[in-house]
Amino acid sequence: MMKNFHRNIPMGDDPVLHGLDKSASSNPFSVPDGYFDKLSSDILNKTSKVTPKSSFKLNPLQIASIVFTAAAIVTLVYILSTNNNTDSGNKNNTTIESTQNNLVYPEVVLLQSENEPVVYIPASENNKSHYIVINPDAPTDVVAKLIAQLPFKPEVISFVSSEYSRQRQEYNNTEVVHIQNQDIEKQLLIEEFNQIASNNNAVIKPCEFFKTEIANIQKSDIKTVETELQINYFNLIPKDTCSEFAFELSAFVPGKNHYLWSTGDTTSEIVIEKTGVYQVTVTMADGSKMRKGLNARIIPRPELKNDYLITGCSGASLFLTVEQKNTGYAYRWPQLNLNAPQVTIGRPGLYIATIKGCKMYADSFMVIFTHCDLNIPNVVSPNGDGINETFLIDNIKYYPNTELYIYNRSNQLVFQSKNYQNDWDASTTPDGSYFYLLRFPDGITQEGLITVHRQ
Amino acid sequence: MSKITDPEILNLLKSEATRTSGFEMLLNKYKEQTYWLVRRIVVDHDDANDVVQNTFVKVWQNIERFREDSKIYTWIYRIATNEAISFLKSKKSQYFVSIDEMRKGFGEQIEADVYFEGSEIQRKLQIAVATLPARQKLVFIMRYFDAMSYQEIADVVGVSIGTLKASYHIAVKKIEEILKTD
Repeated sequence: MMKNFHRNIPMGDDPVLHGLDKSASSNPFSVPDGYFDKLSSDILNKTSKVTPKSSFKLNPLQIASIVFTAAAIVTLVYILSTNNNTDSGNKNNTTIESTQNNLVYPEVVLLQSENEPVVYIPASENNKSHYIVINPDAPTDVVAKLIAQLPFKPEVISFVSSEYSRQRQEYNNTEVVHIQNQDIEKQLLIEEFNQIASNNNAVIKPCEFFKTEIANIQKSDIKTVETELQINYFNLIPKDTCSEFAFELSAFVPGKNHYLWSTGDTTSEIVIEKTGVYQVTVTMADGSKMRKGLNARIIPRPELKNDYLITGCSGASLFLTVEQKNTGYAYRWPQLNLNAPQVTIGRPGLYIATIKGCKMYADSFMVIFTHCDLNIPNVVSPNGDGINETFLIDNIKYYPNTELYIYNRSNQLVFQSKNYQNDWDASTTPDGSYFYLLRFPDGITQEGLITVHRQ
Repeated sequence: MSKITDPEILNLLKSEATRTSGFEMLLNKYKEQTYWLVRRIVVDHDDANDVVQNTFVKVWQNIERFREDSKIYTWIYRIATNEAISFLKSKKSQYFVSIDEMRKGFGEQIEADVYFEGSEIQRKLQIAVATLPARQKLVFIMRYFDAMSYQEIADVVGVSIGTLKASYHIAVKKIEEILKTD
């Protein structure tokens, strides 16, 4: 019934490299003795002089989705462990016992009826949000009632797939492995619950169905349990939803009913691939009709730029652009107080842009400015042929009091000048690669490699 | 002794007090594999040394920008490959030579390299790899020598798996051509 929306790329065999045996791929290189120890100390030497670039408070935005996914996975695993010790003594105990904030996950389970319609996992030091897990096999009205009773602000509500819990019940002692993001089969926003629990300003996040593999069980061992799904998906259809992928929307109502979607489909589920308004009419066995509309937005995750370091010419301005392929994105440059996908920058610094699709993403750029009117050579050949005899920087005369430092591979200073006048001729410097650093009076520094080459 | 895990390293890096020791552990864990990747790309030991040092200095400077949705080593590889490629570009523009001369240059460089201990066929292969364009070179090195998965390479290079497979295929064909003509 469920469709897989993650199209796997076929993994064919690599082309064979003819004319070579596999030994050619072994490592033919070597390094001087003790090199890697020296490498460490060299690098630590350098890093001790610089501090990491300051962080911005945007990190939570970037990792919010990971936190959510991790929380959902942890939750799922947790559910499994609680399923193992079914305590029939608490069968009808659906009252909430306590909500102490200092209890550490996963010691507290507030609700422990036989089917555990709702499990509450409190906040801990590692995980700042409380969350709840709902068993989809539980009747919707029971779940709604329990959620309404919660005296805290639920952060995440996840459904464990019914197929999964059935298998789980049958194979209680088997370890479950391989819960991978790629296996998430579909996403559904359940905002209906938001209203139910809104007296506490609840934030309820999209729930995810996990496809799981159970280790060491052959398919034939699993008895197919043909019980009808009890969940009323129609009641769960949100008014508004946003997804980064195509997803399956179900309007299933238990019983023999007819479905008619605005797309013309007559199945209980449809696949939503495009942004739009979708409507479904369910005609019940007794002839009564139910109608519901959904405003669905499909906004793929933005592709963030790979270029982090942006170089511009001093005196000119440059553009920073974030992805704008999809019209559904909302852009924001908090430092500049601008909302466009492209902004003009005149000063160096670290610039952050946030891109809001279904979730919030952040992109950042390090902007530096250089003196583009300077033509800095990368070779000096002091051999008397009249070409590249000195380290000749065009237009340096417009930048008086520019400092020049030249270092060799061992980081030893071989030349320095507090007011460079195109007068370094490398006459006493052996052939090889050198590193130069120019420091201009306006604070801009430019650096690069210079080769001394006599032939 | 079990190796320290990436999340542990990242935790150390998050706090100012433990950042230096976290970076030291990160360095010790990844310096060798990063070096060998860079060495494959730039061939010369001194050059590789420069590139690796720059790479880790950048890692240190940008450590707070690391997006935790990728693996830390693919992030380091991404910085390292960018550094290596821009190094090769600066080296190429320095001499204004044709591809044939470049091949010759690499060949001589490998022959003169006291830290190259490979067989004749390995030498030929290195020269052939040196002639590939940047992306094909990266993909070939990571796939053929490092046996990385396409997904891992995609995380490093930042292009789709389909494109990578095409690049690898073309690279293999080109190298075969070069090995045949030699």
